[in-house]
Amino acid sequence: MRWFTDYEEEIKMALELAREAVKAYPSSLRETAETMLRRADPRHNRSNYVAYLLPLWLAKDERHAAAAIRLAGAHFLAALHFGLVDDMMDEPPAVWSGERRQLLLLSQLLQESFKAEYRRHFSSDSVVWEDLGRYTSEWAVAALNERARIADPRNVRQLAAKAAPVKLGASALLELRGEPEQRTAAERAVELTLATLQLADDWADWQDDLTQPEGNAFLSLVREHLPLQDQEAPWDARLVKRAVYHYGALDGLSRIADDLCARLSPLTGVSPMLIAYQRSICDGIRRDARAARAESDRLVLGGFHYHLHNFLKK
Amino acid sequence: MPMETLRAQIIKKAWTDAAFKQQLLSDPKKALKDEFDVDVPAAYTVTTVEETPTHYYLVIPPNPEDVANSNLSPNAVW
Repeated sequence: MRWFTDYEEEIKMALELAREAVKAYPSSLRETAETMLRRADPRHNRSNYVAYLLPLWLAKDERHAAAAIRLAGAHFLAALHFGLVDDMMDEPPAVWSGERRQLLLLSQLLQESFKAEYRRHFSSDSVVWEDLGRYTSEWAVAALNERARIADPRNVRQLAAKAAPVKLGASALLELRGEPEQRTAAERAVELTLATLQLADDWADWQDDLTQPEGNAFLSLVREHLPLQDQEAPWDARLVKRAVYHYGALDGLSRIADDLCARLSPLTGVSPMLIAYQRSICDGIRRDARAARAESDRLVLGGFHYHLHNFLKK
Repeated sequence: MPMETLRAQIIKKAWTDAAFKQQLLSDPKKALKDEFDVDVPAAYTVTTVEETPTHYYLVIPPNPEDVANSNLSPNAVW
């Protein structure tokens, strides 16, 4: 995990900058923001690392290191903002409590702090602002369509769109580096990584998404792998487990992820850390698929043999 | 200890120790605890069957999706 361990010091500094930014908020909102930042600390919690690390990976040399840390701090704030918006979309307004209203206000402050940091580095006519507008639109369209269409596990742009604002980290560093000619390739590279990440997230969240499976690409794949007689079966955990244990749905997910890794690694000019990060996601899904197969193979030898392993653990 | 080795040890002991085999047939949980320190939880029932040279058992295990341990969640961190 060098894509993470090599940058722990920078992440610490970026988080500190994010904490500084929220100190000016009204006290109740500041406390909530500080709690959220503590939870977002990737050194302690499972996290969408790429959102914060991308600017750091693309800071080729010392000239841009300081700016990359500041922008990484801004991306912590952006991640909290978009996370709050996602949460609020998932909960209907009729049940909003006073706390929910506060979170809506906090979301606005976080967004403004994120943009304020970007304004320190980029003038109003910088292409970065156009990119921010474009990526925010992609994210909004993805959120709008999430329940309107079945998630396609092979559609890279659709998968990546859910996290489109993350791409701004690449756009920003290339602008600072004076390498606009790399923008298109970098955007494509980040999209391949975000698509891989989304597949992994959908695999992680499958149980939570059973009541609304349309937006979950792993569940789309589950349906593909089920036999004809199960195509109209209602969604429940057992159905998904059948698809995994009997019909190879998780192996299928792993193959798609590996294909995305195979498409990223040969691209020129891509940060080796981005490639390594994506590969770690693919490796993780592959290990999970292998573990599921091993579980099934152990059970084939008999229930007693299967449980002997657990009887001895105690 | 690899599970296949332990299972093999249980069977081989039953082959060579008639008293153990009888206990394994009549009270498998006690036999496993006494000889191998294996604790089978109360929620599980274990039945021992003995094959003969002309009578074999083909055991159909439960479906993996119905087995309590198969909680099916990712182990990776990203």
